[in-house]
Amino acid sequence: MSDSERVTYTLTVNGADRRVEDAWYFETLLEVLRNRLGLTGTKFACGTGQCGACTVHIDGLPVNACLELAALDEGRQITTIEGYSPSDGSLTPLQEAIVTCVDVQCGYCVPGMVMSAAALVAEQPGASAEDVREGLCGNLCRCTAYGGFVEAVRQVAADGSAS
Amino acid sequence: MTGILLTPRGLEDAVAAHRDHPLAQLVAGGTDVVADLNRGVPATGFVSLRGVAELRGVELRDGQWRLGAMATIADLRANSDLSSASTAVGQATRSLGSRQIRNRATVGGNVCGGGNHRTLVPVLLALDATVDVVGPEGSRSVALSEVLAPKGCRLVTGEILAAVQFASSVGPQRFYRVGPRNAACYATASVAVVLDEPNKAIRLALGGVAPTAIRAPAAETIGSAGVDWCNRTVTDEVAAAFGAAAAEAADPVSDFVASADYRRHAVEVMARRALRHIFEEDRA
Repeated sequence: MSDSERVTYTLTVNGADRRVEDAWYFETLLEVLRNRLGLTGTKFACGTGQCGACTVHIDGLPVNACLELAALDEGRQITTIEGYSPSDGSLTPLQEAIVTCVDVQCGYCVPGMVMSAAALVAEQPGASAEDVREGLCGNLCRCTAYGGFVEAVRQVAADGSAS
Repeated sequence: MTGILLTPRGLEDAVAAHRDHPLAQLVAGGTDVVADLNRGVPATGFVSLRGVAELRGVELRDGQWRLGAMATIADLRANSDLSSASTAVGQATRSLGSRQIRNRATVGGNVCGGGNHRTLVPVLLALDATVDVVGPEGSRSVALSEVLAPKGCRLVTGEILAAVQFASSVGPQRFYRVGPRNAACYATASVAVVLDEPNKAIRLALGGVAPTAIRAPAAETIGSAGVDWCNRTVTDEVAAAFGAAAAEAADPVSDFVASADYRRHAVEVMARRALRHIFEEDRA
């Protein structure tokens, strides 16, 4: 419980404790990740939970970071695209499949799409193309590269190796 | 912007925080409240109910489902009895938001968020749900329809929605909707039909066609009296009259999503089909 408009708390992001000092109590997780912690892989687009560009995992579940009050996420395991991606700069099988299958023009949706797809593959190994279409309905790609995304995720779901 | 963030750890604390900070907004999953914040609605303080364990949980006890107000849509879907493909809850929650939204959106937010576009509310109305409410003066139970409102909900100042309850053993049920897309959007219009077999009654609720989701009693009477309960059939004439009465009960508005005529037509067709499909599936 806080007694002022400014709050200080610790977030566990990609396995590391990150101190957030003197933030407004109403700052979203997306704002804190991008503006205070410098983790700009997670994108802002709609701010209303429709586009999925800000998808992160909290305790393993995909959620929209733009709809989270950051101060409420103390003590939870937050994973962003920076933490999902291998630290040596290589790509996961899911990321490789997306590079191979998807012709994106701008790439803005990709971090959210990857985080959403990674959770989907973990949840539904062997997901069909239909399952993938339904499962990724919370991620919009305005370049409309959906066919490639569905094919990439379906392949990885069939192989059972997202990360 | 003013206000503070309160994070009560129990129901008693939550009721006290809500009473002591009347300007602070209750936040359940945040999928509405934080979206409003991003749209520029100024924050006046928040009381987050996330830490209130008593409000979570989905359980079946003595033939009654009890859905905690803080149960997420994902929690409902994780219960295979509650959310099988043959239940209206299962059908509706599959179309509610995206996976990301379902991990946060709650039963309480659907009921208390207000409006006529909530996906779960018509289903709960057709299931004849009651709601448990807790406040500074104690707790009470009331019909779901009594608390629905075009904006927010009709609770006494200081009260918090604790749970939604409904009988588990009813009968076949259907939820249909039309919307701008197949998922992750609000329904333009929706219908939920439940066959209450023990009482030989049909219950119909409509979404998107009145200031809140509503029941359609005249259509229910036509359906209950018109179906052949012994042979488990319904004639085309009864189904058509049921649909027409559903359209009659609708009082929709025209807006940027759809015209009133479209919404009225949609509930007529969906109510008619839902009734027929329930019986066709029953025989299959």
